[in-house]
Amino acid sequence: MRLLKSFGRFWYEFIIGDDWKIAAAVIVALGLTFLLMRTTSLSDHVLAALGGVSVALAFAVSLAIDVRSGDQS
Amino acid sequence: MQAQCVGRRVFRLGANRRGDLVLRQLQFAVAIRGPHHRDIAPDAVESDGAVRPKAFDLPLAFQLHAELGEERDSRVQVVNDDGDVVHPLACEGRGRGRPASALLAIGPGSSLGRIELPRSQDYGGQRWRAAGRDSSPTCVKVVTTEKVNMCRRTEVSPEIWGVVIATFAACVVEMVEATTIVMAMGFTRGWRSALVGTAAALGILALVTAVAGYALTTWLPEAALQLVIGTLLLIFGLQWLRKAILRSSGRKAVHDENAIYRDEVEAAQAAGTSSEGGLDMFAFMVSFKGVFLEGMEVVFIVITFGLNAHDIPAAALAAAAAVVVVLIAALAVRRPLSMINENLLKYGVALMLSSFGTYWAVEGIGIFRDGRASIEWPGNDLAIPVLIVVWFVLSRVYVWALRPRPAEHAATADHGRKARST
Repeated sequence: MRLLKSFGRFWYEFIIGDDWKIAAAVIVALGLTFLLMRTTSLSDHVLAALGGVSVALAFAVSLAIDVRSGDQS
Repeated sequence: MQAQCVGRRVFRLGANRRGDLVLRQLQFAVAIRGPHHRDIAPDAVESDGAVRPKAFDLPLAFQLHAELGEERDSRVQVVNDDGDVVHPLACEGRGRGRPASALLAIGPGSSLGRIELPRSQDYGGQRWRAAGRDSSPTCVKVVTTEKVNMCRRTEVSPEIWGVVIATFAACVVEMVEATTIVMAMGFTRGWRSALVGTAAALGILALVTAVAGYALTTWLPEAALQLVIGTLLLIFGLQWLRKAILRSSGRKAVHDENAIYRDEVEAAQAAGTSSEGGLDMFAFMVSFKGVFLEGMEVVFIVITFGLNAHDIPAAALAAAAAVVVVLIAALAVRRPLSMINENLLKYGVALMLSSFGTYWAVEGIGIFRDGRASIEWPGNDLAIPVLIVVWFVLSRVYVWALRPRPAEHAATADHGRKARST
C-alpha cells in the first residue's frame, strides 16, 4: 500500500507538479473545446482557434489566482 | 517513355477523412504474389470494392522502391509504355509524417485496394513505385492518400526542427540541473558512488523510454495519442511558462545553480556515512534521484515529441547531443554550469512545449467526434510557429502586468526593513 501511494505521489508530482491550477486550467479549456465541438457545427479552423483561445484564457485565470493568493512556489 | 497523369480518376481521401485512415493493420483481402511482396509485409491490401477478378489473377509483385523525390504535390504518373509501372509522387496535404496510405488501382475504373504503410518506417524523401511485373496492359495506380514525409529527404519539416530544438534545449536545462547535483556529490563524497548512481539512473531511463515508446506506439490510436500527449505537454509547458513569467516579473527568485550547488554540498558534508558494497549510499542515492527525476522529463519530451512527429530518432539524437554538450562543458569548467542562462532556456522551452501542446491537444479532441478525425488547425503545421509567437506575446503581456509597481516595491522594501529592525 505504501509503495502504491509513493508511486501515485511520484506521478502526481511529475504531471501535476507544484501548481494543480495549471492542470485544471488545461482540462477546463479542452473540455470547453470538446463541448463546442459537440454542440455546434463550427468549422475545424474556428474550433481550433477557439480551443487555443480557451487555453490561453484558462492559463491567464490560473496565473491571476496564483498571484492574488500569493502562491508563487 | 511517356509520362501521363492519371490522377483525376483515382479516388483520393481528403484531409478531412484522415480519421478514417488511422493506423490499422488491415487483413489481407487479396493475396499479393511475387517475391517482393515482403516489402509491404507489415501492411495490408484491402479490397476497395469494384475490383475485377481478373485483376487479382495477375502475377503482380508490388515493389515499393524508394527513390529520391523531387516533385511535390504531384499526381500519379504512368512512366512506361506498358502502363504497369506507376510512380506516385503525391506529397499533398500536411507533411506530418503520418502513416502513409496508398490506394492501388488496377485497370480503368477499378481499384485493388489500399496499402497502409508502416508508421515506423522513414519515408523521408522517398518516392514510391508500385510495379506490376506482368506485361499485361493493366495499369497500376498508386495514390498516397495520406500526408507523409515522402519527398522530404532533402527538406526537414519545420515541425521536425521544432522537435529537435525543443528537445535539445529541454535536455540541456535538465542536464545542467542533474550535473550540479552529481558534481556536488562527486567533489564532496567521491566520484565512484556518484557516477554509479548516475549510470544506474541513465540505464533505467533508457529502459523506460524503450518500454513507454513501444507501448504508446502499439496500443494507442493516433488521435488519442495526440490528445494525451498534447495535454501532458501543455501542462508541462504551461507550468514552465508560469515559472518563467513569475521570474521575469520579479515575483519569484531566479533559478541559481551556484546556490543549489552550495546547498547540495552542505547536505553532503552534513550527512553521515553509510556504505554498501563499497558504495557511499548517500552519494549514490542523491545522484540517482537527481539524474532520474531530471531525466524523466527529458524522456517524456523525447517520447512525446518523437511520436507525434513520427521521428523518435531525431528527438533522441537531439537529447543525446545535449547530454554530450553539457558533459563536455562540465568536464571543461569543473564547476556548476551557472554560466548557462538556464532561466532563458527554460523560458524558450516553455514556449515550445506550450505551443506544441496546444496544437496537439486541440487537434486530438477530434477523437470524440464521428469519424475520429483530428481537428484541423488553420494553416496546418504553420499554426505551430504562429502559436509560438502568440504564447511569447502573451507571456510578455503577463510579465508586464505582473511586474510589481513602484508603490508595491516601496511597501515590500519598507516591510523588509521593519522586519530586520525587529
